Amino acid sequence: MTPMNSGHAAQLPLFCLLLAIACPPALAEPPAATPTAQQLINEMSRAQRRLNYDGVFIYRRNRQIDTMRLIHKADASGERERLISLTGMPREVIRDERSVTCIFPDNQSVMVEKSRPRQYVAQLPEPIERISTHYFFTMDGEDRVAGRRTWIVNIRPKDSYRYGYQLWIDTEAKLLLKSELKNKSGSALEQIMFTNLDVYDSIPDEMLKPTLSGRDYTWYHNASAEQRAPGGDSDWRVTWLPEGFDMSEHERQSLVASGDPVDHIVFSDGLATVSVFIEKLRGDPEIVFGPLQMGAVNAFARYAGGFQVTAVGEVPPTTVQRMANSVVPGD
Amino acid sequence: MNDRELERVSAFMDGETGSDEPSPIGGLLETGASRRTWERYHLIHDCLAGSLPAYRDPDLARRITDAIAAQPTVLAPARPRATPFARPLAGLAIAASVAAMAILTLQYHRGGAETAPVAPAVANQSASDSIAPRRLNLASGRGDAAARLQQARTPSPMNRYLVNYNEYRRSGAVQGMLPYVRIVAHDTDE
Repeated sequence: MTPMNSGHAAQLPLFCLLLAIACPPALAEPPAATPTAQQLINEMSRAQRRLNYDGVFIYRRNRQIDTMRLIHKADASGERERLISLTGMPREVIRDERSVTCIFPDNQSVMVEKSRPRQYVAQLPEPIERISTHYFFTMDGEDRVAGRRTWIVNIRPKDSYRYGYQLWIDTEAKLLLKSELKNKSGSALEQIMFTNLDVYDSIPDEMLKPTLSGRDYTWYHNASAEQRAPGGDSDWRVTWLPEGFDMSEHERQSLVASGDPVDHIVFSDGLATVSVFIEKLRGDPEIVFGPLQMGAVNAFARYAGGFQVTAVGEVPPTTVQRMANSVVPGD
Repeated sequence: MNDRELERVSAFMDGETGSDEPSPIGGLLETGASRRTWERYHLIHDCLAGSLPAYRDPDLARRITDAIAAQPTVLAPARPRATPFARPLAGLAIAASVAAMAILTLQYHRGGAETAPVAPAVANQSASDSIAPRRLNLASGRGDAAARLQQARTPSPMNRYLVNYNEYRRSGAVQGMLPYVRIVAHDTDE
């Protein structure tokens, strides 16, 4: 063996290393610069509202699994979306700029509520500084969901009055492909995961029409609401809030049936939202009070001098209970 | 108890353990230390929930235990132990209550639901196909007692609350969960 040969042998691994750095394997996509968690969340919020997409996902809570299809259309006339259950009864929710229509073939009924106008929805994002006072935001690597590359974002609460999220966000379309809602100790309370998602330039209107005409169904409409200035005079005050929560909205709805007003006060820490509803009770007030649960949405209802006070939010049971218990008549 | 066990107890008390996880209660009863942990956690929970009593008797549990121990033994089948704190009410599926409400609305106000008064409804029931109509029939043949029962259970506003809550939640910066999945989802085992 000559000294020259041994020199070649020593250079070969270095050459291979340089080659590997310069030319990543042809099958892998070029590595995208990883954005910060906050940037990604903002981009996700925009993408969810502005893109046209059609996907199938599973929704899991406790031991139950449902499969659903989500179709979202955004154009000059605004946003429209349709959510359909693919398992069990074909329940549907169709939302546009004016209303939210919930169709229940289980008993041939339709519930229509007003949706919130776009100008109220488009205020985003919340100042990140405010949110990050109460949550840790971290990027947690990459994964693959529904055949797409995703970045994983972790949002962990700093106290036990709120929940955390783990989000899998498409690196290209920036859409949410998988999500877990977790309590402070990290157990998943709810999960969604797309198994398939297609993004389109446009979506035909027919795809937003309900499968069921609802012609023979009973329609149940709710009345419109009057916006009230947040922080303005109110008949009610919520005297306890977790740190960082502020009143963001206050509206007064009137019920079709009785004409009685229902106060709806909304609180947010910039990420979690809790609604407090205060409604006059008629007749025997022997209705359901105490804690209620629906997936990771917790509610707590109590009776207060002829009124039902209910706090509803994607927050732990303690938070809604304590908020509902703190509601007192205003001055 | 290690930190992990303590977290499980805490999550269990908040009703946040997965349903497939075993209850930590059995383990808690084994030692005095773990029983005291359980007591302490309840105290913390009450404090957080703002529902501390004016006076708390630290010896209450021991006196109850002693009183039970002093009882003569009754030879009877054991009854299932009640959970020591409020659990989410079974069957309170919000979407399901929409279903129940709508059935009764259908019964009384077919064709005129938009202007008719809200029909009384059985708020707390499963929306399973077979059960709902049967309850409807029971309700429609009501006597005074049934009527009072219906009056008592005025329409649960939870479904309306949930939709309105979702609409406001949409305006948040993070849409971690798709807003209407909880309405479309089915509750088969609640």
